[in-house]
Amino acid sequence: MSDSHDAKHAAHAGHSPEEVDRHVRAAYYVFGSLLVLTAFTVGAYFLHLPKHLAITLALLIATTKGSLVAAWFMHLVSERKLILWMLVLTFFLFIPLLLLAHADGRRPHPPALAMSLKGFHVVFVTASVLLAFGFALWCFEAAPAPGTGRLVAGAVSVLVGLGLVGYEAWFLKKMRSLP
Amino acid sequence: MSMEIPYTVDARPDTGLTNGKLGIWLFLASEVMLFGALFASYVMLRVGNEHWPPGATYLNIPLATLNTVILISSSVTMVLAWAALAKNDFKTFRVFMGITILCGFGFLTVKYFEYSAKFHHELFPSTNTFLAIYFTLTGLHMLHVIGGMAVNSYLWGPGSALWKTDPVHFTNRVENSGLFWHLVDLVWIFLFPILYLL
Repeated sequence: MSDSHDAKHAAHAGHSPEEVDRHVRAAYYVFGSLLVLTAFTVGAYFLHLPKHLAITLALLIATTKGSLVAAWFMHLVSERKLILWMLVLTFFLFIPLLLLAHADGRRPHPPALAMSLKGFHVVFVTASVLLAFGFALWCFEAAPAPGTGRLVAGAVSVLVGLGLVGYEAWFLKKMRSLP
Repeated sequence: MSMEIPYTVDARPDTGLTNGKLGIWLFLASEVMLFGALFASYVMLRVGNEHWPPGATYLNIPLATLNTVILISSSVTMVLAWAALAKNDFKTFRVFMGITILCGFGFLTVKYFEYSAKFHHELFPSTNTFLAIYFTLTGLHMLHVIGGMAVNSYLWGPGSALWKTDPVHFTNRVENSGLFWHLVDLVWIFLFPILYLL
């Protein structure tokens, strides 16, 4: 096929040939970096560092490696903002999951960041309310103009959102009377 | 009557993305929550136990390091496979996609030896909490490796017929499959130090 066809194909796939070349070059650099960081991770293990330092170092290296994979292999450096916002939302939903690890109320001195199961439930009901109203907004506002199906879906989503708000208010009121 | 799925090649005007790409990212977000829940379980089990064995008590660090290198390498070959398609080079795509699939087999083979050694020494998920969470996390991760290999094998084999009729759509499929494969790599990057080295 001709060069112009190649260029058209690459551009149509969302990436210019120069951009593809840049990704390939970056992939080799990232590959080298990941190998070096893996060697550091294993090397640090054999240094028998104090426990807290070892955990911090291992997680720091793993986070660096994970960021390299996400940024360059998964093209997040050049990705649309919608995906980045989606990942930010995921991250904020992920935090309560980690805090749930400290939700065991039987411990005499729970950590300062402890989140109870009740709090965990409220966070996710709130997230569901936002999701329901957000989806309804998309149904009504997104281009092209909505048909009957999207209007119905939007209306149902509003009802679900309102129902969840009512449930959350009832839940919070009931929880106040429990230990 | 067939129904064509819209926006597989051109981006949707409102999202600026193809439906496939938006779909795979939503799926990956749900995967983050799935593994996040299991990582949280690991933290809960670990801080709740006064005596937690170092990973090396039960696990083989050289084998796990080998598997890390294999998965990292497969991520690079996956990028090269996609890049070959984006530059209209189908033959090179098949070579790199083939290597990616072989890396997947390599990872599973190493895992087979690891698991066999555990079972041979009568170490099972029911033996203790550490092994329970180890088998759960690595078992689920292994299922993801198998799932990724199945999709990649389809795209390498019968699914590649799409290249002749709609090359851009096929390239997008490979990119989406690659995103999943990179997530599998990313999860392992965290599993390796947490389970084996700490």
